[in-house]
Amino acid sequence: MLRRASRFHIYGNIFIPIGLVLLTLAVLWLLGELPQFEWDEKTLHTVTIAVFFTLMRLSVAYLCALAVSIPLALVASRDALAERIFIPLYDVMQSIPVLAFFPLIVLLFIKTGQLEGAVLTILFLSMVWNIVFTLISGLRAIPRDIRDVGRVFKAPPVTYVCTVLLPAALPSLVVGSLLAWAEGWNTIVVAEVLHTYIPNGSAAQDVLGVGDLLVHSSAAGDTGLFFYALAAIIIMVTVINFVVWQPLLTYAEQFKFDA
Amino acid sequence: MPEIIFDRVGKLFPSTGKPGLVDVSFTINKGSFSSIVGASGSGKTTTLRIIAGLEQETSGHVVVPGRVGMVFQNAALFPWATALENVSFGLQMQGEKPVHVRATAEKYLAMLGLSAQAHLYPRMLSGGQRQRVGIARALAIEPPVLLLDEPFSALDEEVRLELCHDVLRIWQETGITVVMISHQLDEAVALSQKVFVMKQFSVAGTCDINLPYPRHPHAPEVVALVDHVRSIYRGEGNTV
Repeated sequence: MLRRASRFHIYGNIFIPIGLVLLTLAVLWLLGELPQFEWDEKTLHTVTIAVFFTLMRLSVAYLCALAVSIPLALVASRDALAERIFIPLYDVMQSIPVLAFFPLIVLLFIKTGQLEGAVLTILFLSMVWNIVFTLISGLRAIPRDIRDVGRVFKAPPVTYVCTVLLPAALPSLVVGSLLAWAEGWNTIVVAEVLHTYIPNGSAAQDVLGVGDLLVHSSAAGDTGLFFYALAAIIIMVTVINFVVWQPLLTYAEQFKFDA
Repeated sequence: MPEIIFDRVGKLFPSTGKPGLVDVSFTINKGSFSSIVGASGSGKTTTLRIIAGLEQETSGHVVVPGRVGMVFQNAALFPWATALENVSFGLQMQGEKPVHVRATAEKYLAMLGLSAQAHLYPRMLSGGQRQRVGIARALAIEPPVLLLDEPFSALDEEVRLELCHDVLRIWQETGITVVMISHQLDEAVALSQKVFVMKQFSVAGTCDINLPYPRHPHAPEVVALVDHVRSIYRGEGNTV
């Protein structure tokens, strides 16, 4: 049963992305906008650079979110006052879309001329809550006996966190990270097109990335570039899923406690 | 010579305002085997947690060694670590050198008959083997006191008897002070030199057991002492 489910999962990971690419082609064909598949080095170069920048942005935002989430979750999971602050905050943050803050963030960063900072901040905000609250629930689910083992053997605080709490909460941390990246992919398409949030803004103020390419190629009617950008996103998500998340999820299984 | 002293110890849980211990006094001698029995919520776990340093008393005076080994009800092994790594944990926390950590962990795994399972993860071990790893982990730091928190309650009868035998053997070989919490009166009487009966957050009575080892659970003297402990438990008897 488990093997069948696992096989289905693997097939899903392969066929769903291929299906999405074919679906995109079918829609473009129906619209009469099927791209010319000519080997275009310039387009390929542009898409590769865009992929690189988008991945860098997502990685930097994720690492920042991780660095903030871990101490926040550690405090919130053991401090009653912090919990009283965090749980209502979570309810509020869940119901307000993070992109609603984007114009404000962009305006703040325009003053310093650091538009890349605006993109990273919005990506960070879209990722951080997923990790924080998944990790809080993971930390709170650690059996009391496991926590006591660290205390009985007088583990120093940092060692206790690194050798007991974080490994025990690793499955939650991986799931939280997976959700954070999914949220990051959703946000990137909007976040890289900054000029729409800047008064009298122009396309020159956008940052190069796959999201930026998607929006601009679509607006310019460049279906070839649009298709390549869309295919790049699908391929990136699929490859990261295969290379990073699936092995991490499998690895994290051995950190789970018996029910 | 006393190893553990509780002098009019009280514990109030601030979160609920409910008592955990009320005016508890007893001494446990060095190298002895003592058990604490009582119904759920009687205060025996709180007593053990204060000895382990996991809870702080709110009144009275406690004398306990700075270092104790503790065996938990469900072994409480780290699922991500092998048996050897689990046993090494306490030693690593003490800052021992890796060579010494490995040698000591292997020695205690061998003492518990688990050398062949050293590189297996907890999920690959039986319930009895996991509990043995937990005992090896507690002993590896070579503490003066070994605390056992209902260590056999999750095991079937045959494994429980085997582990009782192992614990008794280790106590006799090492001369360590053992304090065990148990729901099973026959188990407490078969293993201990002294049984403390707890009721409503206090010690309701004690029973000294001066029978030779090994003790057969169905021997008339053992059965008589179990009945006596039970009478204290029910409020019919008193200290022997």
